[in-house]
Amino acid sequence: MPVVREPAIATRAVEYPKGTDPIVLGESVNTYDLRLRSTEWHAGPITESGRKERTKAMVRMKFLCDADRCIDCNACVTACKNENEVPWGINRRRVVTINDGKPGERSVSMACMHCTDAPCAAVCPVSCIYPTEDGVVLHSKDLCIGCGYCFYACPFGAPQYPKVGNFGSRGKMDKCTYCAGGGGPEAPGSAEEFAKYGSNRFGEGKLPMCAEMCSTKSLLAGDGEVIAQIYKERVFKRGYGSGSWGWMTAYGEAVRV
Amino acid sequence: MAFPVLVRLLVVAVVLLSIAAAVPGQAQKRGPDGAPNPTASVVDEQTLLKQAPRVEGRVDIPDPKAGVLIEPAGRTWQYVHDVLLHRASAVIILGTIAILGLAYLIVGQIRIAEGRSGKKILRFTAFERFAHWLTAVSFVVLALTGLNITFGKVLLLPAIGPDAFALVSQAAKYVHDFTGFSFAIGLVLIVVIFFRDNLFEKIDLDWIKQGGGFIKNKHAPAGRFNFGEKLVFWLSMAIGAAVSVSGFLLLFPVYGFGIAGMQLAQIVHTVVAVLFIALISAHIYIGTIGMEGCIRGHGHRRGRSQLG
Repeated sequence: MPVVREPAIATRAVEYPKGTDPIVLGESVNTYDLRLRSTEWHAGPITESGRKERTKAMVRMKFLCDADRCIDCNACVTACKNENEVPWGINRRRVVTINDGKPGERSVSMACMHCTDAPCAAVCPVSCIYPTEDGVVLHSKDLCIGCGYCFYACPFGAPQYPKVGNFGSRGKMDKCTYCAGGGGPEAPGSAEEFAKYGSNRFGEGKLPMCAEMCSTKSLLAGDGEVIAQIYKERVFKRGYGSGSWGWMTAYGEAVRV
Repeated sequence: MAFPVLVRLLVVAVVLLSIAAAVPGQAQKRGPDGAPNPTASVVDEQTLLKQAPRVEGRVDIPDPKAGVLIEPAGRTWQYVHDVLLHRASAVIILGTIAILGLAYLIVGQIRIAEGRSGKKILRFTAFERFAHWLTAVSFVVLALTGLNITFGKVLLLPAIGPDAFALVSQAAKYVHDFTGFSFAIGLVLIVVIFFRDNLFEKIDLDWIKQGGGFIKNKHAPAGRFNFGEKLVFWLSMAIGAAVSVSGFLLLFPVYGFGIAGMQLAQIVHTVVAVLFIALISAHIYIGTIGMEGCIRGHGHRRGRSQLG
């Protein structure tokens, strides 16, 4: 497995008692991350100074699905749909089962991975997609023209459109927002924002509903270094792991175990 | 009564046995201690991506394209689109304009050798001119709106700001989508009307031998269209067909085709469209300032008289 860089062990150590299984302590990990974040959680497109600041002190939000724990229950899919009231026909999150019914079968829950150097943001002809200071990739539905380029560029099939192929009128792109509201001018947490983008749990200091709901704590959300560390410890304890699905493509590094 | 039951039981037994016989090939592998080894045949992303360009599986939601888990080619397409295609397009379009400008400076306008005769001959019927202008106007609209989606982010966005640019681009996108149809109709009309007159003949060889009249400055022989015109016709038809087909694929996404198909269609659409813009720039140049009297044949009922 080609590994570019091993994420450094979190300097801000996860706050759980030594020797305790971190599995049951997903909640403590989550709240820990959020305490680190600035109260001005959403400050628009990232600036150069902001980037430096983030590498110093801020966290970098990521998803990690531990496929050896995923039981294909689809609770994350349902939780996402319910929490964000996404339009019909759109699934911001989905569970894909690989080698279905064969030995070595694994299920992986996948949504927008909030990539580093997100290809969707790069190809967008109106520049409506951008990463926030937390590494969450948001977009403005006011600016989106529904051209479909982000859909062609995304390695994870995240961008979707409420209308498909009706003389090219796809409607405004919709994708996972990390439950962090939208990238438009709407006030964070407002009803207008909810109607367009869904929930803004992030602004309330909470992590995405899908990961919080996950019954086996397979789906992890939070600072990349912290969730990578949790995953590493799990693999170390149980002796196996099928890897951090999508990380290589999304972040240019896999979690080495 | 008992016999059919026995037969059924036998059938069930045979089926079960055949399943049992088939299963060992896929049986769960076991570790040294006899316990099932959960990692024995585990799949991992990098192995799967070496076998196929994408990781695919079963998905519960009724959307087959959601079964693609990871398709890293998106990043490659992004690079091709944002870097290679943008640079090549800029070079080709600016290069063509530069060459045409140079041609005008060096050659200047090619004059009608013996001046105007004063007589007018009907060269194109009203319907023929309509077909040409339907295609031509559609082409210019498509080219401008297409260039906006390619270079607007660099050229127009900084000038008018994100909100106004999004408004313009949204309108441009709809205009582009619908003008594609009038362009395709015009293209079909042109093929039907001018197909026969553009078939290559022996006289075209003579035209080539005389260098189209450019070398000896002599009037070269031709049928209704000369060899150069025929060349532009066939190139336009081929390029037009390619740009239309790829455009309609982008307009009506065929999801059996997959994202890879859409990426390919987009690349073909861009490459072909840029070549088309270059070709038509030359066509417009010759039709307007490159040749004296040429433009008159496009609008007036009576066309040019002396021009070959």
